[in-house]
Amino acid sequence: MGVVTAQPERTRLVLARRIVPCLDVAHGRVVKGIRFVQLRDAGDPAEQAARYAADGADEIVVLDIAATPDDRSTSLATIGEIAERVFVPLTVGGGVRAVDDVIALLRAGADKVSINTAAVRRPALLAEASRVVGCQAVVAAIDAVRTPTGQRVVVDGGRTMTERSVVEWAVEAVEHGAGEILLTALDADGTRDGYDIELTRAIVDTVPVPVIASGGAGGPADFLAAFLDGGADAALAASIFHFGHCSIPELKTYLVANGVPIRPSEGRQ
Amino acid sequence: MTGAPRLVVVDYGAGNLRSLGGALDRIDANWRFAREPSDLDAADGIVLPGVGSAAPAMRVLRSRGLDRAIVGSHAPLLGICLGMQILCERLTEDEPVTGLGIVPGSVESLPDTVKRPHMGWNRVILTAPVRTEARGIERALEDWFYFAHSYAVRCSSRHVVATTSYGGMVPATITTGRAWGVQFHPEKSDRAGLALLAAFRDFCRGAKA
Repeated sequence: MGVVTAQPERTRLVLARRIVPCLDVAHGRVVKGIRFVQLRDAGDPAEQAARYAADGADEIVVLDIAATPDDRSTSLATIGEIAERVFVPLTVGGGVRAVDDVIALLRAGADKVSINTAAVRRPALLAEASRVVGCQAVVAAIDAVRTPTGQRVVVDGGRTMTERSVVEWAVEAVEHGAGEILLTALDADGTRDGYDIELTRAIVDTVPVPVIASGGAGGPADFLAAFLDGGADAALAASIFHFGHCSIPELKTYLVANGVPIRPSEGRQ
Repeated sequence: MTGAPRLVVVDYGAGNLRSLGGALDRIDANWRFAREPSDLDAADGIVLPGVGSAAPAMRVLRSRGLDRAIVGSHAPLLGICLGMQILCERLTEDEPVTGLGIVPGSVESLPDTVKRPHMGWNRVILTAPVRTEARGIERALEDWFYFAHSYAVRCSSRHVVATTSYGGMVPATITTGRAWGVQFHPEKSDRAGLALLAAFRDFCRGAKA
């Protein structure tokens, strides 16, 4: 055996763009709010995650939205149940304040941990976490809100406005050790009017790490725009998958037909 | 002696071992964690996971004597991600690190022309004809797998079984015959990953017989 051979045309490769269903979890149940208000119950986290994985989800994000406001840590038991049933990457966030939280979540079964408010308040947390678990496991989650003077970072689950520019914070977060940015446009979140393409593109063009676009997905065309126009490496959505507005296999078929590199659904190589 | 091959998963600290354990359960593997060198004595196959940085990983392996136990074992070995990289002789992250030296080669940063980490699903392609003795593993490699790494192995193409494309060809699977290293995470690669783990288990059964 031996020589690395040239690849024929059919196998010219590019990294697949990721379809990422998100489970917003509170008190061990999946919920999805319209701008974090008016929560509706959409089921059991492990059941949902297993269903998405079977449908071809490329990664699953679990955000414990009750963790920050209630000052409670993310339910480690819920994460463990998902990790034992689902063999795609699992990113977990919500209420992560210390390196010990990161380690506990990874041990429970998370592959990546997203840090939001605590990183804005103390950016060194990203560096400390990255040093211990590697930057590939540290995601900076950034919630953005449009203001007259540009996109600003908001924290505490969207309730506290900061003076920070989103682009500047994204750059700083990566410098501190974040290996990925989970970018949520709160103005678009829950509207189903489409991702904030301009904001996504601004971050993608500025940081040297993968970017997950989040907030506003209403249908397949929004994912296409996030990948082609926004340049996103991954696109996250919650309610359209939960409530059946869009299925992952149909979405993947649509994206492949439109030239987006996608991991094929099972059985189609 | 008959029966399922006994696999051990080397547990040497941080990281998500839950998914790997869950994946091995899913394929009905007979496995347990190895935390002491003696845990490797009766193993028919060794899985060396790895997440994080090379320096602390090697420090823990050395302090527990697991490094010599792994190198000294005759059982088939599967190194995953960082567990693949530390099969090599030398690693360079923030500081130079001496690896297990099972595969001649080094580990270096991915080029800065691509986003780092290389994070996501990428297609793996065999780069050598399938060998009869390892055909189960090698056939299972032609698929999509999940990668999450910033460093990559550099070694002779003699040891490279499969590659993926990311700013150039990146070794996705290396081998010395008994030892295998995969840069991706089979335990995070859905059915393709479970199929590869099952193929490794079957390879261990063959090696045991």
